[in-house]
Amino acid sequence: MQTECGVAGPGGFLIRVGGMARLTFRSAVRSRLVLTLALVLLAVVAGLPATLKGDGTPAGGARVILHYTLGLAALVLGVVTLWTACGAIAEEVERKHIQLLVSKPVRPAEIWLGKWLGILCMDALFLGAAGLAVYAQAARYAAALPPAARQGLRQEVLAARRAWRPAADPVEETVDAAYRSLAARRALPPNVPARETRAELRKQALARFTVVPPGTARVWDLPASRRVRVPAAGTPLTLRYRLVSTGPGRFAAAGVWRIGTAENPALAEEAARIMRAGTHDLTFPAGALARAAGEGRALRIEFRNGDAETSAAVVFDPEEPVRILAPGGSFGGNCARTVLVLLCVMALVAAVGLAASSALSFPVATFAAAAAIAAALMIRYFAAAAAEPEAGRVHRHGHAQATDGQSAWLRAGERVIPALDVLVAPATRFAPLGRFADGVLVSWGFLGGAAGVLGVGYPALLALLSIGVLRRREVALPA
Amino acid sequence: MSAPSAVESAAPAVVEIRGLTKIFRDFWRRPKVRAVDGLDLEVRPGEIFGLLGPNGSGKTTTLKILLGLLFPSGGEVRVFGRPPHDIATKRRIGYLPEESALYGYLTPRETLDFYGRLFALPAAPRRERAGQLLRMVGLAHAAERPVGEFSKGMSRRIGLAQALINDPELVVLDEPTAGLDPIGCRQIKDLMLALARRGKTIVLSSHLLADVEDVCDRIVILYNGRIRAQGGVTDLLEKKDLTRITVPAVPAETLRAVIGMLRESTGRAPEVEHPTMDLEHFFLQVVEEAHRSSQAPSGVGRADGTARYLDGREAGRGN
Repeated sequence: MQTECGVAGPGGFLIRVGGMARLTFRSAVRSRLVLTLALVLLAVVAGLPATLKGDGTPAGGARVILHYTLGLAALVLGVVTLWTACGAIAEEVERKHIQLLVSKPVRPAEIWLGKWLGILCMDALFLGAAGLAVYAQAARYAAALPPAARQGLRQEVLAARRAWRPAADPVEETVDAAYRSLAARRALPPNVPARETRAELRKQALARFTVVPPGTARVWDLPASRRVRVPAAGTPLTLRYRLVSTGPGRFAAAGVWRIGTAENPALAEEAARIMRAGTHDLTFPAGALARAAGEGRALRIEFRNGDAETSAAVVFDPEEPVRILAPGGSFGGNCARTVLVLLCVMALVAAVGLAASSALSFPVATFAAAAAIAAALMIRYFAAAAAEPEAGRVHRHGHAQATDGQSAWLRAGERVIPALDVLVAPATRFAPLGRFADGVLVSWGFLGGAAGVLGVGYPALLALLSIGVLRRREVALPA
Repeated sequence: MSAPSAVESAAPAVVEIRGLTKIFRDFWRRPKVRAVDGLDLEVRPGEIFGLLGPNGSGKTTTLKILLGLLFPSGGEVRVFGRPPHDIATKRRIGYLPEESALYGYLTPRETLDFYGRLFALPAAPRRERAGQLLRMVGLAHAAERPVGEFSKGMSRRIGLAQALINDPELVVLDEPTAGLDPIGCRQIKDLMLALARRGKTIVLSSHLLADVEDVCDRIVILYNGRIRAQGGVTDLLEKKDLTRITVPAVPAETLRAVIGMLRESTGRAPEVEHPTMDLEHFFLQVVEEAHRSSQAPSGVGRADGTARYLDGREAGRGN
């Protein structure tokens, strides 16, 4: 349909939004600052691998190339994106371009969407180039290795292994049951708030699920999965686990890992001598276990700690449960999906910048947007601190009583910070670089989640906020 | 000036302003300036309407409220019977702001293409109109240079071209001749007259009284946000107690006889002088001769009349 003036309906919408996007893209690529930062980005991608050293192993070197090069490129591009987005509307107002824009039949939503898409086009261009360069660097690095090392690298790092996890430990259910039991027996500690009692019970439950004292064993059940590929001949499976430190100094533990099915619980067995906390990989050769994994059958993993004379208690990290890494896709596909997840991150950064730009002047918008992103990244730590019952309690239970003002601030913080954490927590779930550099699959589901949350959900909320501001903003006020 | 029939048409007013007030406030929302104070006016279809006044009299503020760039503090504004911020209203308006608000990194062709996209013009008419407008404003030869390299006059011409990309029914021009050389001024005035002949409505504000006098059908004179005078230009400026007769040069004895008759009739001697050409026309003659003998210009080239689609010469166009 065509009106007297132009195309109406969705076609007209697309022409207007496309026009805004082209303008924004042109503005970005013709800006000297952005071009300079783009050159920095290319220098990072081309030069960083030559300046960094890994842990001396082929895998360590490859991880450095993948993680740091792509990570630094994303950081530089994030700064460029924030800068461009903060100027996108604020500079239109300052340079009075917006007076012409608003006099045309273009809606605030079309201006916002066009600007956002234009910035994303720029990001896609730079991220695509960075992704290709990193892929080429990794391929060149692998090609220079001896055949055996190259093979190992392709199985361990230049890979896309699916993480096969056990069901989550029923910590909250255990806490609920313990609390109900105490309440039924009228054994709840007097004058202690329920929240603090539950926090104490949660610690006990976590200890029960994560601590394996000498002479005991812990079992994890991996549900049947159809998504694990049958490993190619000779491809090993990796058992990955992470231990947290139980105190200062070194510790030594010795135990046995056993993996199998319900019918045959010891398809593979491996002794492990553990000398440090942190992430550990244990490789099981292909064989009956690999076939069982490839057939997607349920597996059972058991860790039996040694006796008290030869081994210390080990504590598994509750945040990163034991898992099996099995082949899940190609490295090239993983690289492409990682780049796309980073593009989703850029989409959110651009939306934050545009939201600030809709209401504030350029320098103020840049400061406010950067501060908001920094606060969102830190809020997780504050929320974790606020969740600790001991946090801020020194004044209340100790010999130094807090003043009313301090107590009010603490109480407000205890309510506001968890609420903010709920708001920003979904955005912090999608960090692909660690997975990518570890050869762990960045799945389509992960990409879809990132696209939904970072690429659509948050930007849509920020867009609504910005459009509301733009509708009410007088764009031609005298300076 | 446009045909009186258009001005006196009984069609609904294009612009209706009733009791318009605009108060600018400071950061704390305290009133700072009352820029427009109880303004009432109407602009009728097909007329060229001038807003006159010294700096700070409220001309530009009024225009910006008409365009939805500022919101009124009081009163009511209707453009084509709708509020100014209505999208359907904006489709029918072309606007040339006082200051060039163009993107310096775009070329004139990209600039016109961009604004054409905002009106959702399909690609082919967008390209066609851009070409015609560039020829009309004499910048076809500079179509691929960034606008940021242009002189103020050249930017003004691109600004005017973008205001006409949608073949608007209402053209709002804020100081349209500011920064233009006399040729550009003449072209813009001719263009305004041509648009008015096609039934377009033009609202302009200007400091250059001669320009306003040349083209406007009606004017208002603003001072401190209030109307101090308004009406048809001829009505306001006509000296009804004087008569001027212009004839070809006559012999001295004929002139003496006529003076005698006039003295006898009016009781006082008439003033007799040889009229001079106005400077604008003289300048345009000199430049026209220079154009005929010169090389290709580096700045503004020769303008190529009015764009065909604005003249109504294109099929499917026109009102």
